[in-house]
This record gives sequence, structure tokens and C-alpha cells, in this order.
Amino acid sequence: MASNRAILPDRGPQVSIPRNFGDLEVVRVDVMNREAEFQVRSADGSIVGPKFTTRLSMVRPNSEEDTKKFWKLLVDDLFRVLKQDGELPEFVKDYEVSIDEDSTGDPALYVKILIKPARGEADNATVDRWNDFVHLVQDRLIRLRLARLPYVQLGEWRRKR
Amino acid sequence: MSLPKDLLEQARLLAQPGTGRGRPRQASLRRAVSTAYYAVFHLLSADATAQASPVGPAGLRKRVQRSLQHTTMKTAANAIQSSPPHPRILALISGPIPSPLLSVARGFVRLQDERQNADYDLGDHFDRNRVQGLIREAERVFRDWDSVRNTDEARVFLAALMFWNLWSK
Repeated sequence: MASNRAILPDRGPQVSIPRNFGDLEVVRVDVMNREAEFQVRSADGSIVGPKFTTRLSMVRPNSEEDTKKFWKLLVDDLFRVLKQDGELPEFVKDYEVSIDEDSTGDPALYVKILIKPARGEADNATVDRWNDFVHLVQDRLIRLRLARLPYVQLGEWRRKR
Repeated sequence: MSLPKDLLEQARLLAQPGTGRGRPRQASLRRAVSTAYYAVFHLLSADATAQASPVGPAGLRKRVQRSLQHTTMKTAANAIQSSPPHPRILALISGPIPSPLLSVARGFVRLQDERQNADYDLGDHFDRNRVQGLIREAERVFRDWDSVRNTDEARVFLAALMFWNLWSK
């Protein structure tokens, strides 16, 4: 598959497969089955061509599949599963996803969990509940054996103006 | 009190509401995160050094302790908390990694990365709840380390913190 990823890193690569030309795009991520599906988005915006299924652990940093959208969908699906299983606490208001290098230069996935801010200083029991959820998300991501090291952070949720 | 415990106490003080405006300043919150990491760093590095070096001659342990590298320690901690743990760890530990040790490794990695952000990334905002979470994480590392430090698994972890980058030989 040919790619111009080096020129257009934010959009994902443009690819050429038989009879289908356009941008490679993730269309589905399934954390339960640890796989993702990719297709081609053509110039007119439609998704075309066959689906490519890839193991989540095989999405290598800076590869054609390693796009911000892929990681956002992965975390979206993880939170969907947590909610479905009753493991999403009420203090979680939102989350942010980004990819970068960590402090030692290793490829990293950052998930910032935005929590409902405590009034004043939170008590230890409340902070422990926040941390327990940070650890839960971290453990779930580690178990997926991703090629990017997962880091889970806390942050206060602020109403958007 | 020991230096690690003093640092942890210092981190708590830095994150408390300041005088006047009520909210702790960004500078105080960032120093609190950095101090909480160094509390954990010195807790583990003291035990790693004690395991690797004799007491005498005078000054030897301090010299050995200075040789510890943050990046090596982080890589070793990640090797413990990965799923499954790195084969070099599994070759030395029979059975699953004790949960308190996993907690120590996880806390160390989290605090080190946040310390880097707190010290260098001015685009990253540190709010009080985030910092409270990190100080509480450091406190948990202290408790969990205390419960696991005299086990064979902890001894492997300490050696890994010091020598991980040489273990492929």
C-alpha cells in the first residue's frame, strides 16, 4: 500500500489500493475483541473499499494506522464498555485523548479524565475513588498490550463557555 | 523523619490553600507534584542502594545511589506493570507479581511522568484535585512499598531499578 503519511501526518495517510484511492481511516475499534477496522475515505467523502482488520497491539507508532482518530475511538470504546459494565463513576464528566512522546521519548497515549471538581479540598476517600478509577483505566489499557505506553491523568472538568 | 517522608510532608504542605486568595498557586502545585515524585524516588533509591552496596567504606552508598537513573527506573517499573510482565522479570519471579508491588511500579511511572510535566510543560495546567490525586498516589506507594519491600519480588524490582538497561547482557 502506498502512503504519503510523512507529508500529511495529521490527516492519516493517503493510500492506494486496487480501484480505491483516498485516506486510510479507522471506522471501528473494539476493545473487547482487541481489534480495529480500517477503510478508505475517497475524495468525495464516502467510505469505500474492503475493510482491513488489525489487532490493536499491532498498531505501531507512526504507522499508517497510528492516527489521533484511532486512539480517540479506542478510548471511546473503552469508556463505552466501562459504562455498560457499571464501572463508570458519576464523578467522571469527560475525558481528553492525545498521543505524544513521554518524558523519555517513548511513544505514549495520554488519557486525561476530567472529574467534577470538589468544593474546597477533597477528602481522602474521594481522592482514593478518583485514583481507583485512574488505575482501572490504566490497567485496562495495559492489558490491551498497546504499542504506545498509556498514561492516565486527572483533571478538573470545567464548563465550556 | 527520613528524607522521603519529609518530602512527602512537604508536598502536602505545598498543595494546601495559600494565604490570601485561597487557591494554591501554580508554582506551589507544580512543586508539590515534583516533591511527591522525589519522595517516592528517594524511598525506592535508598532501598535499591542498600541492597546493592555495602555500608562501607564511607561514602560508597551515596556514590552508588547517585548512579541511579530516572529513565532506567521508569523502564524497569514499566516492565513490572506490563501485561504480562517482561520476560526478564518473569525469569526471576515465580507466580504473579504481588498487587502492592504492581501498585508501586504504577505509581512510580505516573508520578515521574507528571513530575516532568510539572517541571517543564508550562502549557499543562495543574489544578488542585489533580495534585491531590498525585500526592495520594505517593502516599499509597509508601504504604504498599512498606508491605512488600521484604519479599523476593521486591528485591528483583530493586535490582531492576538499578540495572535494567544492563540486563539484556
